Amino acid sequence: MRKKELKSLLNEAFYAPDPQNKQAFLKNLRPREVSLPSMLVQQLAYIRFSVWLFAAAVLIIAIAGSAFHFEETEKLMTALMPFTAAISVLETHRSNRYGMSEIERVTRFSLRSVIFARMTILGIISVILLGVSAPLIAYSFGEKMIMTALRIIIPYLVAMILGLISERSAFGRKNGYLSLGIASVIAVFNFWIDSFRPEAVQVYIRILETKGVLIAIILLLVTIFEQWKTINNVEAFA
Amino acid sequence: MDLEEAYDKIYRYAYFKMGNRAVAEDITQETFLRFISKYNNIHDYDMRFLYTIARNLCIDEYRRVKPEPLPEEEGEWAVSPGETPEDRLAVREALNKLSSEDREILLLRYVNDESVGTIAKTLKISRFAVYRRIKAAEERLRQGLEVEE
Repeated sequence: MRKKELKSLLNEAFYAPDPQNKQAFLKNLRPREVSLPSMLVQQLAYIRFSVWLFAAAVLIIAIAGSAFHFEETEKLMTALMPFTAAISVLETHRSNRYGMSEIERVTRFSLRSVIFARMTILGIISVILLGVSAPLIAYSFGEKMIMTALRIIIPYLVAMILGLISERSAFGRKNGYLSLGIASVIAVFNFWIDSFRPEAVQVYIRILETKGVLIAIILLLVTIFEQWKTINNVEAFA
Repeated sequence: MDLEEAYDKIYRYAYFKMGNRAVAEDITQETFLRFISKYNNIHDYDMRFLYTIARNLCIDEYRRVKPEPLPEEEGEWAVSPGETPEDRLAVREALNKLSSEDREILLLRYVNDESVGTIAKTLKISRFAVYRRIKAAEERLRQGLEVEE
């Protein structure tokens, strides 16, 4: 007997009656197909008003500061961007903090996709803030755009990395808003260096001029890795 | 493979283990629900995991309630549309003489079209053992069919 004949005989012998509730079960089982843009639009509504307010305030400071040549604009921006990072981290972990993750886990969207969508939205907000403020400040104060961008983005990325790590740690989970504390330390440190340690600023600028882009790229890669870890382990922290 | 095909395979597998349509369907649905609760996304399903869950559920059900006899023992075999009564009797008689392990491996390989790798992971044996067991089961089935003829 050939394999083909054997297969055909066995297929007939193992014939099972049709299941009765297959379609109804699968219909409820299948998550609704949602494209990434639709998912982003849906999640936009769940971003807290205070986040939009903070982003708008940072944007206004950048625009107004550049327009009116307010000298402290860049210093303010480097101090405010770590808070943007901390708010992004807090917003990402919001569902866990308020116990909503249990609900999100049984809905038709996976918690990972929700977190990914929120991270994408908050990332876009940060890119817009940076994309608008860096050229404005650079143009207004006659600085190199790349240097302005680096000075704003590096504290932001450091705050983001430390915030993501701290929120995943046991200590961070017990003590909410740890990322906000980290952002405060970075912002105050930045402000203090900028205001009272001009020699340190010179050293920092020299480092940025030679290795700034490389540092930013490394920090960006570490941020992506930390975000990936947060998304991947999201159920473990729920 | 789409979800419906996966459902059919698990249902067929459970049906020939438990011999009851309703129980097989319950086990199939429980298999998918357990998979989702563990892996969170049904689109990433893996047949090996589904078979393992279904197999364990069948064992649990077997321990809880003694399964009903397979339909052939009651003369109520589900009849395939293209089947002739002679073929049906001969193959089923030959299959009845095989052990449940042999029937399981033949079902997985020839009816559900699973790869040797998937069968090996499901049954927790080596690929070589799968090849050997398929060959032995085929041989025993052939012998059974020759006796029937």
